[in-house]
Amino acid sequence: MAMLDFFGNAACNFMIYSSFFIFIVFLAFMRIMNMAAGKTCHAKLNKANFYFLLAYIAIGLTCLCRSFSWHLAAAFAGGIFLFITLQQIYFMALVGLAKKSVSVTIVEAAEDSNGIEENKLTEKFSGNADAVRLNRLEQMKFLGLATEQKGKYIITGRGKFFNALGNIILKIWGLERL
Amino acid sequence: MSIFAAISPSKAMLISVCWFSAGVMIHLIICRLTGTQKYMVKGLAFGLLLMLCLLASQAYLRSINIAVLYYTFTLWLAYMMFFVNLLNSVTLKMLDFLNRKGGTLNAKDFSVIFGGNMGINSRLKAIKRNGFLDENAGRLHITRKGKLLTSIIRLLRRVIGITEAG
Repeated sequence: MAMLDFFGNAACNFMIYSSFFIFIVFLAFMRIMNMAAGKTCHAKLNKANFYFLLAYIAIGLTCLCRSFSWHLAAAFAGGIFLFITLQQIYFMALVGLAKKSVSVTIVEAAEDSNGIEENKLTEKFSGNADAVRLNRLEQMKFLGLATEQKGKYIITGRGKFFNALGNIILKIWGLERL
Repeated sequence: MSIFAAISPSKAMLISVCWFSAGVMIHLIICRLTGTQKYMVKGLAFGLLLMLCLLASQAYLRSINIAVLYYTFTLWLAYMMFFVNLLNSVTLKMLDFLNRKGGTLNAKDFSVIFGGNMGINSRLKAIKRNGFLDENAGRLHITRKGKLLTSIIRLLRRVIGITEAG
């Protein structure tokens, strides 16, 4: 079928199809091993996905070593792009939505046939705000954007750099943080 | 004669990058002219228009290539996700706040950015505005649209195997 012959070359097409196939195998493996179960699954899923990416890279490099061409190298790069984006842009976005979305959790809390009072709903989730804040402070420490000393959070050089970079990009695009 | 055509992998990448770069340039101008309001809607609508233009041009040349469409669409989604995170991320807001306040703060001081009912109230307002919940006699009830959303999310959880959520 012309529609599925992307590059007009069997070896180049193989690079894309093998990337897609290995991603499907990853999904099946993730499901069989119940990797999305439990409280924290993002790191587990990304780690497993990385090993499958390495498998794809090994296959791609073997093909490249056997018959190198720039077209094949470009198809290999396309295959890596496909594999990474299927995971990070599509699959992890769905996992995030199904697992962590605050809005979905709020809508679910009002599913009772009698509904729920707005105050009760707000009370139910107000404790979450402190937990989210503390979680994000831990994340800042983990990413090296801030350090903690005697209960005080101090911005690091890296934190200043990334903050300045983010602000410059927003300024160029004329956008403001919401 | 088929409207689909095979092209070399490097040409596919080049075409995608050209269309994506042109899209970013036009989107930059749109953002500068219209500001932050309805950023997501504008970005997605423009992305859709960009993809339709790409599809129309390929159909006109009888050379539709799915790899080119995938690369361009995914690059656009990645670009949108980058800006959505830059605009909404609680971590980045807290980092900016810390920097503006001299670089040293207690954990409690961050409650100005994300504390108490602040985050929940704004979410609740958006949920009601989008028709997932409605208010009746002081109580919030789930709408048909809200029920559809929760059913889809439950199905998604079952397919992926998510056991703990929220």
